[in-house]
Amino acid sequence: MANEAMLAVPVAQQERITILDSLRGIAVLGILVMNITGFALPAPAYHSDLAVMNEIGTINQKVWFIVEWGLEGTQRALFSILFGAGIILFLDRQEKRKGGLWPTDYFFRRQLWLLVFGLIHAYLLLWFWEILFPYACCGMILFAFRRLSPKALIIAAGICLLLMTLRENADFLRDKATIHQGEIAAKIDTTKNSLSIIQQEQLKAMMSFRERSSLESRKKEMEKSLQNVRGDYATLYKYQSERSFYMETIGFFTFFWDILLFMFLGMAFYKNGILTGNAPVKVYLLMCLVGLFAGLILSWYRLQPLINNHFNKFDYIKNVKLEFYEISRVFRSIGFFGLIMLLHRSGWFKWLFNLMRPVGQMAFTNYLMQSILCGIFFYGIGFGYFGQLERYQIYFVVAGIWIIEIVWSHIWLHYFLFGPFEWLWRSLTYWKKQPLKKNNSITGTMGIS
Amino acid sequence: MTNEPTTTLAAPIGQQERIIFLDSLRGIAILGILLMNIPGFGLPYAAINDFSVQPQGDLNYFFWYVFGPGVFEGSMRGLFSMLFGAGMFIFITRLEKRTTGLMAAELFMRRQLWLLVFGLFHAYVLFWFWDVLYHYAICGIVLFAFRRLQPKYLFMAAAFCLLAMTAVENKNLYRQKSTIRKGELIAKIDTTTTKLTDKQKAQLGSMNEIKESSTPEAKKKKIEKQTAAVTGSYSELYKERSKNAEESETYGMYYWAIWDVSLFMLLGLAFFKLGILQGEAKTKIYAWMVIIGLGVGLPLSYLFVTFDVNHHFNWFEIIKTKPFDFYEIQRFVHSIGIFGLIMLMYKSGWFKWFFALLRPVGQMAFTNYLTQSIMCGFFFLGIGLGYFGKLEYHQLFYVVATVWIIQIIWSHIWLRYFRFGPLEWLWRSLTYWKKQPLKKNTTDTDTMGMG
Repeated sequence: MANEAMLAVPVAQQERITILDSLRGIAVLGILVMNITGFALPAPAYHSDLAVMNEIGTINQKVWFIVEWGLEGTQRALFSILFGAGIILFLDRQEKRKGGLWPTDYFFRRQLWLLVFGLIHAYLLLWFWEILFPYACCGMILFAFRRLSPKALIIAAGICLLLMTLRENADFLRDKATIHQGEIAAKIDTTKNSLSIIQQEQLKAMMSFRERSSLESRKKEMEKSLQNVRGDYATLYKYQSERSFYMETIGFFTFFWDILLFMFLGMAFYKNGILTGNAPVKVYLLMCLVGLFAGLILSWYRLQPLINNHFNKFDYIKNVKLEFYEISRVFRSIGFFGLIMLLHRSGWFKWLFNLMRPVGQMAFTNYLMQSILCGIFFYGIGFGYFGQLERYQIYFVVAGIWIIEIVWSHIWLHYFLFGPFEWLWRSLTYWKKQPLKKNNSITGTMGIS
Repeated sequence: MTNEPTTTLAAPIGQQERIIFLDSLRGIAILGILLMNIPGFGLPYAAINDFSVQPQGDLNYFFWYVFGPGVFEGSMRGLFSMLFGAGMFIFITRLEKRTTGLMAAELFMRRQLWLLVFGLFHAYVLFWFWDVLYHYAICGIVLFAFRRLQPKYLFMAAAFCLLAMTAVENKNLYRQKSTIRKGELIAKIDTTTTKLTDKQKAQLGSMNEIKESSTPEAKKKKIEKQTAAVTGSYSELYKERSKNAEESETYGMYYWAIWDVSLFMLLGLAFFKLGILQGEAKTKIYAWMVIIGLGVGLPLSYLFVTFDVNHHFNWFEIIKTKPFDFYEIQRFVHSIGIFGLIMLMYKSGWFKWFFALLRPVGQMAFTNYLTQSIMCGFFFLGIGLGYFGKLEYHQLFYVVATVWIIQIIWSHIWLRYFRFGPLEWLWRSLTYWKKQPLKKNTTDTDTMGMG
């Protein structure tokens, strides 16, 4: 039993599939583009509300539009694809080296430690939009699906899309009904008839929804957000931890299918070679053209009513018929993925993929470091730039962090085998201190003294 | 794609392999759980833990106290969790012997995921908002990584869960205390001379919310609203109940279930490995459980319950004056006591008839758990007979007794002719993704499930 334990080791350098590392590097840098609004802007501005900070009609709106129209949701999709593929990779390799149920045990330990990291990320580093927690949970669920064929996995992804669309519309229509019923109750002449208990409730619900959606309320929310994030540690902790808790419970529960969808696709794409760049070029071409074409059109149509209603949720829900965010996001994400793979296959961007590779090899570290760096720059307990920069300016911060992360990833991996947090995660999973420094005799027996 | 491990040997447990006594324990747990759940089936949510809004009287109080927070509360679900933890271990180790590769783990995970689906069905279609299948499914998946631990470490993990739950309870208590304190300070401000800031207004509002919801009038209104929804049309019922279910599956899962359920699952794993769960330990161990569990637990529970009673269930006052929340501690202690008591009954040998009577009930526990919800749903919900909110507390237990009799009788009859309960059969067939044999035949051997 002791001998067997020594064979359970992390992946040796040569075994890594380099294209996956490059893709992960792109994803982790891309995710910062999505997350920076949460780090830098107060609620509700960070989540597509351009009215509260008077951004309508300015360059900020243009910047917002480009990100929201094109990129939104695509980065975490790429991340999920790689996460799903990573599950299969991990288990396949473990199965080759160790018998019994040990691969499963290591896998679940790995996921549980990831969950712990997620909790630390949310409650210590105070990043409320963190994804390690939901990814850890989804990973545990995906174990049961790992041996499905690519076709079955794609069907599973399709089911996720269907369920997510149903869910977002169920919530959407429920809110519409609240408004509708409340407005009916409001029209009743209360001098003649008194309202029943249920009608009173409906009226109250509609009016509170309308009140919450008003510009005044949203501005108050912004004030509160600014005060809390710029405040001391206790204030910041209370505010961010409440948001984190909401994301980990109701948020996770409601967006569960959104998160799972691309993990299934990742597992499928890994198995049929699409992810590793081994599919015919026309596959990627098709993905890119159909995905971007359909996705960008749908996304455009989705954003117009939001803009026309001045980002007022009450009016948006009242005037729009159906919600199709998930569909638009899936098309755009597939399109974006296809585009990247075309760049890879063209062979003209080797420099880019080589540049991204170390970033992706230490993606876990880089993801956490983004939260640390942004926390220091934006939160009150740091330099306090929260809410001080205009929307277009925060993307300069993104560029700055990109440069830092690309440079240090290359340097670090020149001397060490894994990123620091990768090393920590692996050591905890195998419950054994892993080697860290690179040496010249790197073989497949790494980890065995 | 990869080498397909032999699946033919992956089969559900043969009749002889069942540990008979665990079935009896599960039967007790399953009937006992109805005692705990009947208030949720029959009374409005706001009335469940609150005796002040019930029809009063010593009989009602007795039933509320004994079959509720004073004696039995938490003990039946504790027993159920212990059996679930042990069952998980039995399932995996048995399959490990018969299958290769990671098949045993995959089958376990599939089993848990199907259980989760059943849980969602239970909550959103059968409208039972206190469904625990969902939470048990998730805890089972999380505890997979702990199954190999020695009893010593399992006890430590269980202790951690108990501490974590207590910490969470008290964090909530003290947060609410602080809300009230801040609000009361603001309330003292003379608003004719100083204007309140927005933040102060919000804090005052939070405090007043707690204060107002603790008055009898507010409680009555809530009860009326809930009763109207549950006895109303299908869509009103759905709206009300799905809200409760979602809260239980999000807030409830992460703030309560993961600790409360895992605590006894870990204990069950440990007790199973030590033989305590199967009744193989020395009698004096069980005797000590009873002495300490009930000797300490019952007084603790008495303190816990009467604190609320003496404050007339005014939550505002209770939050202000309660120094320490020890729900999980008192529940843990008296649950161990009740478990010890049941085991003493078993060891005495005088109750063989009782355990034999409950064995089939426990063998089809899954079916019996869900049919409780179907029967009680039919009896109480507006879309059924509509007795919700109409019975006094002690009258609920006539319903319990009736359901017990029905379930004991049909379990005996069904298992005479069939191998598993109907829902057990469904769950197994889905897990193995193969229709399982259902009818009993005379050649009942270990090779069940093949060919």
